[in-house]
Amino acid sequence: MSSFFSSLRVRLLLLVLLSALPALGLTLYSGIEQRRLAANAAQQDTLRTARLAANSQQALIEGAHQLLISLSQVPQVQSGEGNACQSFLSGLIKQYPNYAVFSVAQTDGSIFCTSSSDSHPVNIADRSYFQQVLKTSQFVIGDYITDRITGKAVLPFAYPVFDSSGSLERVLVAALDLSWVNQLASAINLPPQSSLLIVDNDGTILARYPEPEKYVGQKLAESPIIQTIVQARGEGTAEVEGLDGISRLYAFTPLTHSSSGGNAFVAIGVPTNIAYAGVNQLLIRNLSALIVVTLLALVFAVLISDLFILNRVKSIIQATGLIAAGNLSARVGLKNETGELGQMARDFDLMADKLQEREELLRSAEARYRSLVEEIPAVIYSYSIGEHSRPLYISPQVQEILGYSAEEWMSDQNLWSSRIFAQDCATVTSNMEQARKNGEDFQAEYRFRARSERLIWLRDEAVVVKDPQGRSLLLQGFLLDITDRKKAEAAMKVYAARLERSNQELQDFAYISSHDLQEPLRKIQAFGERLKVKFREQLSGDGQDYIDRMQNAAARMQAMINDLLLYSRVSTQARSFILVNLNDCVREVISDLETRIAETGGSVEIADLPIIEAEPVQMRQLLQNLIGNALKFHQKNRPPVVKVSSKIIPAQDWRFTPTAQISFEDNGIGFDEKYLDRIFQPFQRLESRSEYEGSGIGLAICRKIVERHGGGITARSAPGQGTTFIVTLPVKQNEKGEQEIS
Amino acid sequence: MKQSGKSITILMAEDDPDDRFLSKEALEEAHLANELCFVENGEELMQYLKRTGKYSEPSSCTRPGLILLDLNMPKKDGREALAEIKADPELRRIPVVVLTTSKAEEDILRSYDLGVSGYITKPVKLEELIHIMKTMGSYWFEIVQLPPY
Repeated sequence: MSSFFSSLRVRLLLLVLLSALPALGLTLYSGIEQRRLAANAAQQDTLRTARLAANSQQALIEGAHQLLISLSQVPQVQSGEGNACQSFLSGLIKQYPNYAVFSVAQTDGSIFCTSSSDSHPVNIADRSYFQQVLKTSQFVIGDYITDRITGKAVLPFAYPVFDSSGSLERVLVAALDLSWVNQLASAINLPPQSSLLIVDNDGTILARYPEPEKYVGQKLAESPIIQTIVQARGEGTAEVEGLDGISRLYAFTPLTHSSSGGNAFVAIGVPTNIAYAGVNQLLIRNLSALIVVTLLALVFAVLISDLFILNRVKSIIQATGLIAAGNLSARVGLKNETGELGQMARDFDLMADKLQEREELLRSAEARYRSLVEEIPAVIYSYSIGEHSRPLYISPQVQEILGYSAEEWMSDQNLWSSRIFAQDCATVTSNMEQARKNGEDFQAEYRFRARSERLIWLRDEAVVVKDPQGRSLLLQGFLLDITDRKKAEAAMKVYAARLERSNQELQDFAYISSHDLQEPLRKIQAFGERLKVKFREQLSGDGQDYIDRMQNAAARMQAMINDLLLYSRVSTQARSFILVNLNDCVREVISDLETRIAETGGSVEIADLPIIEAEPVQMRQLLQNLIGNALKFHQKNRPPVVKVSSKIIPAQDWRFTPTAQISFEDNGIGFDEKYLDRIFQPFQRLESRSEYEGSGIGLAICRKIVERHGGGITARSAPGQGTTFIVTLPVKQNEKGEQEIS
Repeated sequence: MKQSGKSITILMAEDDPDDRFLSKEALEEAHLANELCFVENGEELMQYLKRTGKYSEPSSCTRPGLILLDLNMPKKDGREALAEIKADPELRRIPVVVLTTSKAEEDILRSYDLGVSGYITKPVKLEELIHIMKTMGSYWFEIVQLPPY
């Protein structure tokens, strides 16, 4: 029921109806008023008619009075001749059809003579009117009674007849037949189906028109009309059921008192439908007109509301429905509409546009992320965090990488744990459990049996996703196939072990061989010396010279062997990196080179050098070689001036460490840069041995040291214009202490 | 009673014949009159000291007052022999001076641990060897008291 009333159309109609309601009410009210007035009028009319009837009756009574007065003087009445009286009265009664009977009664109540031919003896002594006449000796109007002689309902009049002495001798009675109502009825022009009723206050029907024979003489005190009349005790009107059951508008008025004080009423009754016919018709006409107008109004309301409101609303509802169902391209499309509905339609379309736009954006973003997740070469997964962790999502790459389809993986929550390589299983699953319980991140590398039974090394990393309150929601992570990397690592380990071994062998070899190689050289030198000393006289100048050259050669070889040993030791005897303050280092070197500085009259200027992670002994060697060289290779008459400076270059490539760049600038002999590569090779010299001593291993050792630290060395020079050696060293070394760059 | 330094025998354990020759020359040049005996390796050294093997004849060897020991020798090297000597209650009193080519810190430490009285790295030049002999002679035979035997 409520949904009926929530429809817009019904509400609009109700609105129209409600606005019509006052008019309707007003009309109804005036109609009813009219009717009431008309009813009143009808009642008054009827009442007048009743009064007319009563007046007629009055006239009749007067007439009767006069008649009786006349009759009492008539000799037939005066004489006491019964037969003459009788024939006179019966003749007279024919003249007066209104009267039921004329009678003369003795003072004892017995009837002397009567107009009726009915001759059974009757006594009227008990009648109240008779007694009244006897008492008052005047004209008496009696109560309405049923005449004993004729048996009809009559209104008796009694008049005294005096004898010659003036005493009451006899009583004249004239009984008015109450069927005179017929006369009366026609005289007053009763409308059809109306009734005229005379009733006494006991409820006895005295006269009725029509159908008098049916009702007259009966006592119908229970009949509604009679009750009404009796209770009213006076004039009045009433709408009530009549004796025959027809509802009538009755107007009643009392007839004049009879002498005994009894009362009778005359009532005129007009059927209500006839009485009110005109009024009802009017009312009905008015109401019908009103209803028609209202219906018309409603129809118009429907039409107009449809045209101006409902159709628009329907379009909007339709478009809304389409969008709710998922068709985002639906629009209302009422572009030129004004007013609130038009605004709503336009706003709706705008909103739909935005919605569609956002949907598109969302869709393309989703597609991008989806393709990202599904195309990266790793398996992305998310698992539920509860007691029995089950897979919530697994990316399609699981097929390619592990050989299981996403459906298979999702359907079997034990698949993962059951396929971990037996040896790794316990550790991995317990780690996972811990991560799950504590909401920590999870990381593991383990072997996994792919579907093909091939063992794959996987890197598994997952995080626990939490809600803003810190409760764990799910586990999200990825699997990366690191089999290749593991293989490479294993190979690397083997290689590194081999390298280590080979280094060790080399070291041992270098040590031993240098030792053993040195032996013969010492002998050569020693015996050469012996020769020179012991056989000085025997040797010529040439001989001495030969021996000198021989000894020099041996010495050089010793030096070379020592240098080779030093060179090999750069890698074989390398110790781990620690923080080295190069300032301290360089100061030690300078103090070691004091003699040479003093000899050459040279000077070394040092700027602030950085602290780097390096091997301290090798740094010493490096600085010693470079500064020593700078002092050594000075120009003939120019004291050497060496400037050492540094700067820090910020981190650039994959090593993420800044680089220290140290420059060694000298004013020495310089060299042609086309020989740049050669000077760093072992035993390569640019200058002759006679000019500058040294085996030519210094720069080679420098390069090896620098390369071991992951740095580089180069030089800039020009003949006669000094040289600048530039050394670059990483400030930080990686943990393993290995810095071999390719 | 101070024994005459000149009668003390120096026993030298050296495998290299050239080195033996040069050492003899150096001793002569240093004008030391001590007798210089040679053994060629650790085994011979132990045999000499214990008077076993080819040195069982008592006359062939006198108890040395000083042993010059080379570390690197075939068969039994000086390190082993040194350990043996210093373990032997009879022999360990004899001062041992290591005379070897090795400069290795390890050798130096180990030798002193075992109880050598000195460690000399063989010089390159013969002059230096002569100088060492002279100094050694004056130190061990003139200044220092040797244990009587």
